[in-house]
Amino acid sequence: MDFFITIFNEALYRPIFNFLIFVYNVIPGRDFGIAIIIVTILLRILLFPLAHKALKSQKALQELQPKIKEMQGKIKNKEEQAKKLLEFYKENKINPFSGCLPILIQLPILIALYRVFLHGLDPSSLDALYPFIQNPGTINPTFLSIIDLSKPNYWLAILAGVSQYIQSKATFQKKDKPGQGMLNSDFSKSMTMSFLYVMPVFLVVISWKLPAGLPLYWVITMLFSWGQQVIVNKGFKKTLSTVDK
Amino acid sequence: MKEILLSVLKIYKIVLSPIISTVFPYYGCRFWPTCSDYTYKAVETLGVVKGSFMGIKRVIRCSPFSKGGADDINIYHKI
Repeated sequence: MDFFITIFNEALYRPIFNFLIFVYNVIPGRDFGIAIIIVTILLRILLFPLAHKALKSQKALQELQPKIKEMQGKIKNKEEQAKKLLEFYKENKINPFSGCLPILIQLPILIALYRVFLHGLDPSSLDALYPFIQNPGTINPTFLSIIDLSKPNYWLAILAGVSQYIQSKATFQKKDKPGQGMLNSDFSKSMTMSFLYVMPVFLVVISWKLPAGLPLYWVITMLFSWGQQVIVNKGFKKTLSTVDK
Repeated sequence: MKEILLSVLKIYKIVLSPIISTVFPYYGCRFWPTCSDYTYKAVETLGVVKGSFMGIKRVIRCSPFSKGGADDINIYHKI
């Protein structure tokens, strides 16, 4: 187990932490909160191409929607429907999902990021700096000279819940998301509904006691994926109107 | 050991999977059955060692480079 922790620390935690401190050193004003925002957005931009690929797949799917509907009518069994649908994707060389591997690669990165924001403000964490990164000595934990990011902040905790709600709402807005309609069985529909309301509350409760750097990270992440979702939804609407014509 | 692994997979499916699908809206599984169902079946029928190996192999295949589609563990099991 120690072996895995060492690999995780050296391959992910330290590079991200060093990058964060580098950004902190470079930006004017020395604001740890702004550094968190910049690093979060940069990481999200790096992961953007995959989301874009999904968007293109969604558009292609929209054109095949009538065929899918027809197929859906023929088969009643939900399990069979899901199976046939994925076979159909394969035949048409499209798939709205980018697969499990990309998620499993990203998760450790996000966990590392989370740990960096959690421990980044401990004075001892500066020992993990590479020799070529300037040691700032002490880190100023105040964000916009109001919020102390090393201590819990109730406002940011609530904001984390609100942004999570806005993001999920945008994701689950369309009932007939192409391709997913069939995969969303009754079970996942009820899951979705409880998820929409339970998750934000859960997030506020968790964030209540955590250093405010983490809810700040979560707010930025959620706002970014919300923006991404809005773009995808717009693209979806556009193709829908051209199909109608 | 087998029981533990199967319950971990069940918990993943009920708790973690929905969280992941909100954070990454379009990163779902490309296969039927999904990787988690597949691994569950594999561990159940082939045992912990071979089952997890099959599961890992499946997850590695589940990327934008594969075509996806139906890929059931029973097919391999019968052979």
